Amino acid sequence: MGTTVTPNLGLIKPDGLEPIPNWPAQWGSNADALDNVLKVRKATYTPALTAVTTNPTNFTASGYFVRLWPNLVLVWVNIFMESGYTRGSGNYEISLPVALHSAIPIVTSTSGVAFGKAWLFDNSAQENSQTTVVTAIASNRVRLWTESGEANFVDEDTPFLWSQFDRLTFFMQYPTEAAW
Amino acid sequence: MATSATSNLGLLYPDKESLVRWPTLNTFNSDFIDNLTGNVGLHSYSPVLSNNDGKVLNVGSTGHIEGWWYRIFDMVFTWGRLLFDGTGIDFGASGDFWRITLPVAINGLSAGSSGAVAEGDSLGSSTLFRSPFSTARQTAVSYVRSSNQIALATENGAGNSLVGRDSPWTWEAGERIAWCAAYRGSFS
Repeated sequence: MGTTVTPNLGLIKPDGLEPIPNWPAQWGSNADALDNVLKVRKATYTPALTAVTTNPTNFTASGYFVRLWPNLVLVWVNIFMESGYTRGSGNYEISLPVALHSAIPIVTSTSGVAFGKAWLFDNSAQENSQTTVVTAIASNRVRLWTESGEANFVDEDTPFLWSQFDRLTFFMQYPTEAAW
Repeated sequence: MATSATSNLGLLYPDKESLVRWPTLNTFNSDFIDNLTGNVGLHSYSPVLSNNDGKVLNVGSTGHIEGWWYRIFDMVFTWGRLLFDGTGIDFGASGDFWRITLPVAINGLSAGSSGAVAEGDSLGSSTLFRSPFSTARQTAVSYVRSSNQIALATENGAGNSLVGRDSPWTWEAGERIAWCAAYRGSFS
C-alpha cells in the first residue's frame, strides 16, 4: 500500500504508509486532474456560413461558446444577412468551434441526432419565420432540418427565399471528440 | 479546531491537524470530489420505447434506438435517435402515445399531478421524420412524462399533440425520431 486512486478522476490518496516526501507530487497530480475538469473556457468565434454548391456572401456571423468540463460545449450563433446578401445555392452549413464526438452519428438525408434549436427569421414576410432543429452534417459543421419543406435541410430557398436583413440564430449543446 | 471545512462543498483542510491525519482528510476530499463529478466521459445507453401503459415497443429487426449522455455535476445532457424499420415493429395500439427512457432519473422536475401533456416540464426539442422525408417533418418538444421518461409533443399537432402510433400521423417503417434534452439527474 501507499496510495489508492479514486475511480473516476484518478485522484491519488496516500495512506499513512506513504512517505511524506511523495505527497507534493501527488497533490500536484490531483490539482492538475481537477484543473482539467473544472477549468472554464469561453471564447468567441466566427462561424462560416457555406452552401453546398455556391456559398452565400454579404452576411455577418458571430458565435460564442463555452466549455463545460472536458467534453461538452454550448454554442450560440447569430447570422445576419446584410444589405446585398447573395443567397448562394445548396444546403446551408455552419461551422462549429470544436469537433463533435465521433461516437455520435452525423446526419444523413434521413437520419441524425438533434443538438439544439434554431430560429429562421424572414424579415420581409415575418409570418414565414420558423423554429427548427440543429443537426450535424460533419464533425465540424451543422445543418438545420426544416419543417415540411421542399428540402430536408435549410438551403437558399428553404423554408423561404433568404434575402437581405433576414437572420438565422441557434443554440446547441454537443459532446466534443477531444478533451480541450 | 484541528480541521475546518469549506463553506460550499464541505472539503476538509487541516488547520492545526496532526500531519498523521492528513491522508485521511485528503481521502475524504478526494472521494467527495470524485463522487461529485462522476465519470467525465461521454456515455452511451439504450433507450426504451414504451406506450402509456408501460408496454415496451419494438422498433423492428433493422430499426434502432440509441442514446448518449454527458454528466456535469448532477446535470445530464442527452441526445438520441430512433428508427422504425424491418420486421416485428410494434407501434402500440390505437391511441397510444409513446415514452422514451432517459439515461438517469430526473431530479426536481415534474410530470405534473395528472401527467397531462401541458403539465410536464419541457426538457428539449426533437424532430419527427416522416417517409418520404421531404414531405412532412415536425419539430416537437421533449417533456417530462415520468421520473425517468420523456414524451414528445408536437408544436402544430392537429387534435392530439402527443406523439404516438397515430399522431401526428400514422407511423410506418422507415420513419424516425431524433431528440435532445437537458435536466438535473438523480445521483447518489
